[in-house]
Amino acid sequence: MNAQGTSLIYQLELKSLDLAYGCKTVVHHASLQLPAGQIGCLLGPSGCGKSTLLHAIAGFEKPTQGSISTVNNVISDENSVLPPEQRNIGMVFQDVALFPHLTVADNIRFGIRQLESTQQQQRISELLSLIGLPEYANRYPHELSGGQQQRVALARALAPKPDLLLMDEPFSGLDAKLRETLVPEVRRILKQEGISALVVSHDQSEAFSIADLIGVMNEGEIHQWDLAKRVYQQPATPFVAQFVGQGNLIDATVSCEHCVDTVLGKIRSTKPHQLVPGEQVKLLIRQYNVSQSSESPFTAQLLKKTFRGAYHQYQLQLESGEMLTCAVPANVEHQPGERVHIQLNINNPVLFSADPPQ
Amino acid sequence: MTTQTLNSSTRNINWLSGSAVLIASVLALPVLVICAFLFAGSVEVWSHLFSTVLGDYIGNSLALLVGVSAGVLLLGVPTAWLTSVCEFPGRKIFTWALLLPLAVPAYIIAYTYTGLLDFAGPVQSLIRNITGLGYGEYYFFEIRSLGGATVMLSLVLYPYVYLLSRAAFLEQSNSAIEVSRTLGYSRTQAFFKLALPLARPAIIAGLTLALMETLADYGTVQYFGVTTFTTGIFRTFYGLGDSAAAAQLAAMLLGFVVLLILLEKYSRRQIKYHSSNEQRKRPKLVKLTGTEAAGAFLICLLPVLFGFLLPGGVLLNWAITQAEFNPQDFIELAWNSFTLASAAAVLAVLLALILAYARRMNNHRRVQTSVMIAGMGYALPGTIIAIGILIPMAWLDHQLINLSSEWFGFNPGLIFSGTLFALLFAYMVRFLAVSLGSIQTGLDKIKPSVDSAGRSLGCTPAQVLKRIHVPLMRSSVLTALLIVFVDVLKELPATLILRPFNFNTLAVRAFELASDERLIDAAPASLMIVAVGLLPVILLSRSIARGKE
Repeated sequence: MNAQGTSLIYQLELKSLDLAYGCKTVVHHASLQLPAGQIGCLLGPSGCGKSTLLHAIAGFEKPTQGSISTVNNVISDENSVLPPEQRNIGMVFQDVALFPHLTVADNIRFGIRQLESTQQQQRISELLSLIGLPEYANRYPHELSGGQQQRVALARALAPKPDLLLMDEPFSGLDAKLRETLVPEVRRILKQEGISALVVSHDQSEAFSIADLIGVMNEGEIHQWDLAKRVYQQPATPFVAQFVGQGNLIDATVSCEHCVDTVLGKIRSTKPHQLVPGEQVKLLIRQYNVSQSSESPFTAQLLKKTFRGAYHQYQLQLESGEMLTCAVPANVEHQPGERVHIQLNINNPVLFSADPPQ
Repeated sequence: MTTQTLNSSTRNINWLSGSAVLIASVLALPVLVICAFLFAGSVEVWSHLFSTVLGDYIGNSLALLVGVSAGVLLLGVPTAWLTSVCEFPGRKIFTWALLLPLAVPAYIIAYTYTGLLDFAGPVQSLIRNITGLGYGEYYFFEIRSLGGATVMLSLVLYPYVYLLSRAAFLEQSNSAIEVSRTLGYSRTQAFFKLALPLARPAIIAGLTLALMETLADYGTVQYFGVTTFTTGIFRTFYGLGDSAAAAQLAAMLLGFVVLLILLEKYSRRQIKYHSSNEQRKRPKLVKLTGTEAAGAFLICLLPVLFGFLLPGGVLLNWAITQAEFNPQDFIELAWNSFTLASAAAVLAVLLALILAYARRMNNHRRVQTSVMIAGMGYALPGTIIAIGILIPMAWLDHQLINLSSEWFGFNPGLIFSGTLFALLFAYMVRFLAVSLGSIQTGLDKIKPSVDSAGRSLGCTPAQVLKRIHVPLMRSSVLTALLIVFVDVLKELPATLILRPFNFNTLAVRAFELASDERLIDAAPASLMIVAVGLLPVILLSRSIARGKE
C-alpha cells in the first residue's frame, strides 16, 4: 500500500523490512515512504512493533531482511548498518532522556558543538524561542515540568537540523490536558522547521492531530500506510477499521453492484463496488452511522447505556447477535433491555470480503 | 558515507562479558577452596575438633549472636522510631549523630573501654579512692568477657538496624496509620500492631547485617579472650599450624554466614512486598513534651554517648596527652595504610566498572550470575577469605619455587602469598561488593535512552562514554573509592594474616599495641582510623538529609 503523497522525493523509505529479537520476528515486511516535509505516524496497540521499527530507523536495531533508505542512501540492510551517529536522524524519546548534568542550553548545544560558538548561540536562542522557553537556557532538566522537558528534548533533536526526526511516544508521559495543547504545538514547530518526522503513538486522536500520513500497525505488520483522512474513511483491513474510530463489523450480502443487504435493510453506495452479487461481506458501521428513529422498522436490544453529557452512548445488540454502538440525545429515555428503533445512514459503505486477506 | 557492521561492538560486549566471568571466577576461588575442605577433611581432624574446642566455639558464637541481636535491636529500633515519627529537642542532630558509632571499629572501642574500665583504669581507681576499698573487695563489671564483647559490638553495630528500620518507618504511608486510627487504634496500639510489623523485614535485614559483622569480628573477641570461630581459626592456623583444620572451622563459620545471607535475602524480598507505591504524604511528626521529650532525648543520647563521644573523647585525650608517639614510625604506618587502601580502592572501582558495564551491555544470565558472585564477598569474614586465599597461593608459590629451582636454579620467593598481591586479592573479595553497589546505582540512573539520545545527536559510543557517562558517574565513582578506602583502612583479620612480613598498617599496629597492654600508645593509630572512618558516615548522613527534602 503506497502513500498518496505527490512528491517523488522520499525522505524515508522502508522496503519490506523484517526485524527480529533473536529468532522472534517482531516486524514483518514493513514498507513505507515518507515524502519530504511530511509528518508520518505509526499507530498501533502496544507491542505491535512500532517502537522497534523506529529504533531500527534510528540505527539501534539491525534488520534481518529488507532495507531502510533516506534521500539517496541505503542506511540499513541485512548486511550493514550505518551507526546512529552518522545518520543525521534526530530522535525524541518516550522518557525524554535529557542529559541531567547539562543545562537546557547545553543539552541543545550537545549535537551542534562542531559549529562556531556564535552560531551555536544563535541556534540555541532560535530554538528556545521556537519552543516558547526563551528564559530557560540556564535551568537544569529537573527544574522543568514534564511538558517543558519534552519541548527541550524536541529542540535538542532539532538543533543539528536532522534530515528526519523520529519521536517515540513523545506525549505518553504527559497528562491529557497538556497533551491537547502540546501536540498541535509540536506540529507547528515541525512544520515551521520544515522537517520530515515519523511519530510513534498508540493514541489515534494524537495521530490525527499531528500527522499527515498514518501507518496502522498490528502484530508486526503495517496494515495501511495512507493519508490520515483515508485511513479513517477507507480502512484497508478490518483491523484498521476497528482500531481507528472504533467501528463494528456486521454481516452483509452483496445484492447488486451498488448495494448490499443487511439485517438493518439495504445499503446503497454512490459508486459501484467490485464485488460479486451473492458474496458474503462485512460492513463497517461507526457510531455516527447509526441513529435512533421511531419510524424505522428495524430494532435492536439496548444492553447498556452510558451517560456522556450531551448524549447517551448505547450499546446495542442485533437479532443476529452482532453489536453496535449509537449516540442518542440525552433527552430520549430508554431502559436497558428495551428494544430501540434504529436506522443506518451510510453513503459510502466500507466493505470487506467475509474472509479478508490480512 | 561509511557503513559499519555490528561486529566491532559485539566484540567489545563479548570482551566485557568474558572479563566479568573471569573476575567472578577468581573472586569465588577462596570460598570454593574452603568448601572443598568441608568434604576433603579427614575424620580424625573433625572428631578432634569436635571433642575439644568446637563446643566452645559454637556456644560462644551463638551467645554472642543472641546478645548482639538483643543489643542492636534495643539500641536501634527505638531510636529509629523516635527520630522518624516524633519531634523532640535535638531530633535533627540525633538523626545523623546516631550513625557516628559506625565510624568506630569494634576492636578500637573494645580497647578504649578496657583502658577505661579495667582494674588500673580511671573509673576503678576513682571508686577505690572514694571508698578506700582494695583489690577484690568490691564487685566491678569485668569488661573483658563475653558480656563485654556483646556490649562493645552492640554499641558500634546498632546503626545498621537504626538505618534500615528508620528508612522503613519513614516509608510507611501516613494514611495506613491514619486508617488504623479511624478504626479505633490508639497511637501506641498502631505502633505495635501496624508500624512495627510493617517495618519487621527491614529490621531483620539490618539485624542480619549486624550479625554478619559480629561473626566476622576478630579483634574484639580475641582481645577479650572469648573463643569463637574467628579466634579458633587463627589459633588452629598459627598456633597448631594446621591449615586443614583451620579451613574446616572456616567452612563451619561459612555455614552460619550462609544462613544469615539467606535470612537477609528473604527479608529484603519482604521489604518489597511491604513498601507501598502510593504517593506518600510527609508524615506529621508527633510533638513530645515534658518527660516524654526528655526520655526520647535520653534514649537517643545514650547510644551516641557510649558508642562514639565517650570512646572518641578518651582516644583523643590519650593521643594528645599520654601516648608514646614516634612521628616517623607513625608516618610510615599511615603511608602503608593509605597506599594500600588507595590501591585497593582504585582496583575495586576498576573491577566494579567492568562488571557493571558488562551487565549494562549484555544482561545475559552468565553475566548476571558473575555480578552476583562478585558481590557476595562482603558477607564473608576476613578470616575465611584469608585462609581461602593463603592455602591456594602458598601451594602455587611452592610449585613455582620447585619449578624455578629445578629449571633455573633460582628461588623466586613467595610471589603470591608473601606479597601485597594476596592482601589486595582478599580486599577485592571482601570489598568489591561495596564499590559495585555504588557504581551500579550510579549507572542505573543513566537511562539507556540517554545513550541512544547521545548517539542520535552524533556521538560515537566512545564519545557517549566521555561526554555523558564520565560526568554523570563521577560522584558514584568517588563514593565507591572513598568507602572502599575506609573499609580497607579499618580491616583487621585478613590484613593480619596476609600482610607481608614486617609490613604494618595502622589497624595492625593498634591491634599489636593493645595486645601488648599498651592501650594508650595505640590511641594515635586508633584515632586516625576513627577520623578517616567518619568520612563515609558524613557522606551517608548528608545523603539522608538530602533524601528528606
